Amino acid sequence: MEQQPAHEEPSRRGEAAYPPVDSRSAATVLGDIERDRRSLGETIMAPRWFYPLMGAYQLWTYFFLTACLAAIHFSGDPQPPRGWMSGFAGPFFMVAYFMTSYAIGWVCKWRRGQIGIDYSAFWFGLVPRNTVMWVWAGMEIAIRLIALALIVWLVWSVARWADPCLLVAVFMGFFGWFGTKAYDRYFVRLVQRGLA
Amino acid sequence: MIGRGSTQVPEPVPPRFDGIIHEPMKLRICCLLANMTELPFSGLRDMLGLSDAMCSRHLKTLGECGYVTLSKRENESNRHLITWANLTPAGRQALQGHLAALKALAEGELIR
Repeated sequence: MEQQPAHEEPSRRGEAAYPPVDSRSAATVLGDIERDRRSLGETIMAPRWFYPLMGAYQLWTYFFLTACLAAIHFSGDPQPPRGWMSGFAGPFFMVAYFMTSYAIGWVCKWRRGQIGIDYSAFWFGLVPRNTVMWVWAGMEIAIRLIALALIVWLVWSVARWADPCLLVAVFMGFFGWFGTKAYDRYFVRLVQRGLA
Repeated sequence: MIGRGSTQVPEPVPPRFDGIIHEPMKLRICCLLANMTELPFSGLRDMLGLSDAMCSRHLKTLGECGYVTLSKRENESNRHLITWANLTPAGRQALQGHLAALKALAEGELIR
């Protein structure tokens, strides 16, 4: 241990010399720091509505993809008689999806405004800090790609069997909800333990 | 992109009291900043229960000592200017030394 006099260093900006430090006050200060970390952790966690919203957006995205793929795939088939409203369904879904995406982008920018560059608006989440977070992020990307491939395969190849695609969308919705929450919670634990 | 916050075990830092960081509120500011890449001024102020003026004063002092850098950026969602504070490598080193000294003291080791 480097031998440093605890109370002799002159102050740098004309401030008072340090107050005397004993083991009790040092322990008190360390306790304060521990409490600050805990409250910081709670501020990093997004509000409760954020995670279901992320889940709903994923569900909506996969549902939209399924609808688009099905529309492209079935376009050559004999169509049922169409009313004047059916012509609006496609553009309506398109506009609704892009408006939702814009709103989610705004929410992510708001979240970035809360916690700074540790939140990536591109990534839609906290920037990975350690191996566990990188592995988790990699798995998340892999699961999203697998779900996408599954939807394409189901719509394209398995006799136009679109219902299971909706199950995939629902699964991805829950994954987006609870996966994002678990990932953020892990980061909060790191901060609260002083390991971040 | 494993940043400065990676959970790799850091090298042990020799305990060393730091005159600037020793002031409790500055120590708490530095400890909060050590956990994140950056924190907004308002977040620090609210977490520590400080007034705008006091928080600004502490950050200014830390900034003049080269422990903290302050930057202003527009909030991407509403275009409001936000002041962000982040701990410099010098500040991080000083903080680690100071915390090591405090821990040594709390454990009953005498630093003389």
